[in-house]
Amino acid sequence: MNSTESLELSFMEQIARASAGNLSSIEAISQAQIIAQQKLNSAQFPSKRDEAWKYFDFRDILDMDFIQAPATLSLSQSQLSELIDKYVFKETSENLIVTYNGVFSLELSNFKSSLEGLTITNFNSSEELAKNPKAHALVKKYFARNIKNENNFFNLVNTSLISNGFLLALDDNYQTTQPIQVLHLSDKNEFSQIRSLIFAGKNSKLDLLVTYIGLKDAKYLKNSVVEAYLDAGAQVKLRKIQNESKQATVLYNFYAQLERDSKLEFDSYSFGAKCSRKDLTIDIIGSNAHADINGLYVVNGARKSHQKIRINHLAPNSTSNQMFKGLLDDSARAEFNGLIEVAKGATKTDSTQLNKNLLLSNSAHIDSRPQLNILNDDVKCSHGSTVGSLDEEQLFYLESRGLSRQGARAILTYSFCQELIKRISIKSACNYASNLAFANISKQEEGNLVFGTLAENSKFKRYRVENVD
Amino acid sequence: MTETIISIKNLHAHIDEDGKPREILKGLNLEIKAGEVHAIMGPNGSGKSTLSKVLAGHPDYEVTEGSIEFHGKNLLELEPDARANSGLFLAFQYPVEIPGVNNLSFLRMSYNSKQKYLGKEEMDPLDFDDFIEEKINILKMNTSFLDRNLNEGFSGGEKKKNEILQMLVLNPSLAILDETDSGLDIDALRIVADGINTYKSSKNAVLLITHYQRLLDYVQPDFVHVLAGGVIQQTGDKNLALELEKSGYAVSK
Repeated sequence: MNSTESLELSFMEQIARASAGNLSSIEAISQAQIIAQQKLNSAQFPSKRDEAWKYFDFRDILDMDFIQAPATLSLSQSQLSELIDKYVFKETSENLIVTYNGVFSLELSNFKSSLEGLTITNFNSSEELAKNPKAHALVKKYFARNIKNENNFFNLVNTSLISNGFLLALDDNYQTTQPIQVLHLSDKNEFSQIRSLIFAGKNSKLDLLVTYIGLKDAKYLKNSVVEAYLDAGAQVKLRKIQNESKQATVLYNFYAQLERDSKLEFDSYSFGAKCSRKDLTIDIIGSNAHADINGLYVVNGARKSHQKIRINHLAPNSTSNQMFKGLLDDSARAEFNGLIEVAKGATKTDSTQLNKNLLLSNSAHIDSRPQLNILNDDVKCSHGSTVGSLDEEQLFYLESRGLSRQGARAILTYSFCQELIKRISIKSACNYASNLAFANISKQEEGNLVFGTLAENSKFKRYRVENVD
Repeated sequence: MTETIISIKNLHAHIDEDGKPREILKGLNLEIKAGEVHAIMGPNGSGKSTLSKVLAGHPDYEVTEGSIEFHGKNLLELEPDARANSGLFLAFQYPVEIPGVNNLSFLRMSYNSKQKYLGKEEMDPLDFDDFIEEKINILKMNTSFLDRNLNEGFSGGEKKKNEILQMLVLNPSLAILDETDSGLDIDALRIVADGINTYKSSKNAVLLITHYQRLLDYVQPDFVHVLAGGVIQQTGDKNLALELEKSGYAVSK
């Protein structure tokens, strides 16, 4: 047995040990845990031989110390409040959900606005669910709904090991007036499982900004699972900004189910982590539903970013668009692996998928695989990918206006990211993302200035006066 | 004595085509003094746009022979940004789009690059708003133009106006306008011409590259040159342009 094999075995054993006796007191959850544990018992540790993990370096997981995160908060509330304040946007400070090292805390969360029609609770607390039968019914119906088909190893690990997490549910017709921020904060060298369950009732509207923040150089392994269920006519916007510690490995599993006429906008912005991986699965199960799935990944140094996306069109007349952009510097590596599957009977599907990569260094490396699997006639699908460096004609145009080569490069880099970053409607979060994009490519003094100036989003004054409320 | 702004002598330049150099400029001579307006006309493929790109420092073109002095300095030793900051401006025939980059911020960065290069104080955003407002009024442009992204989704005419706006902001000593008149309707043409006439003074010079006589009705050239086969074939006054309009380039042969 070589050293990797023994590390894999040890990882599996520790999972088994941690799983034993971790059954939830909520029946719906414990049932899912039992299924997950059974699957894990017969599963192999994933390897590069699996198509889905072909480009993944498992040392980024196996080299981590396996220290299971405790199920309770390790800092006092006042200590935490101070810490949290730094990572909350002014637009969302009164609509805030917080987890700290994987532990959801209702006390740290802050909701000044009315909770009428909105449920936020720990889904694994029998006490909470007893108080809220509606929430209990949702957990029963939706928690790990896809577990029988789930084969992602780390999703199963999450299900098996979770101790808490939050349910965010919107009643039928409820519409958020302000965006809600979910802040996931980590600073301990631990292996944490984060889980959230989102349910949007019929014709409800949710605007969610999720930030994953890691402090200092914490060396943690984070395994997140997010499930989102959109009932008929629901509209969910989920913007996710990932700024994890540069020593961390983070795995993110997102599963969404879209009922008829619903609309999901999922935008992911990845900047941090030594190694990050996203597995996104969208099941469009109702007709006339629409999914917009976008992502920007910015990596430099020797860091890695993986995105695996699968969109299943299972009902007729549904549409989906994907736009993933990668900005790679130094010897960073990234992977885009996107699959659109159109099932039998999903006629009139209209789906696009595009992956664009900008390589700022000759040593950066991208593996891009856009894929289609169409089992049906009468559909419209397109896909493609591009890999390139900065456009010489654009560079020359900017230089001919007096900007230095460095400045011109920074402007074009900014331009490349902006198409996706501008989709963040919260202005301070949008600026935050712009700055992170620049902070994660190799620094150039001139570029700093350019990004600063452009991120101001300066409006001409007359226009500004007209827009004063 | 009137200052010579640019002096081009025996200029030879080529471009790489499938790995083979193709010579386009074949010994071009041109001298432009302060206060002058020169027009260069000529058949397609004669090297007009190449000349403008060589002057601005486009990396695809290589100068193999000859010299260009700009305010007495060797222009060919300067990078494109240094050429711009020293007072050379090229209005592009096809301005590129830069999505996501605010037009106003870009104009201010461009202006301040020049200020910095000249060792002058940079302008802050509020002062720049006043400064740009004056320029934009000359071109009868809506101020919402400034809040859009650099050339992104601009019509052909809007792009050309934006080039002239940049010229007014940077106030160069030599403005090279590469077919700025093409694709403009008659109203836009008048506005662009007004912009050029507002800009020109006894201290600077204009080099118009055009296919048509009509711009020259609004901006009076002091010299009209015919560029053909990579050299200036003929030079005259504005009447030469009228003649060319009537009888084509055959007269210059």
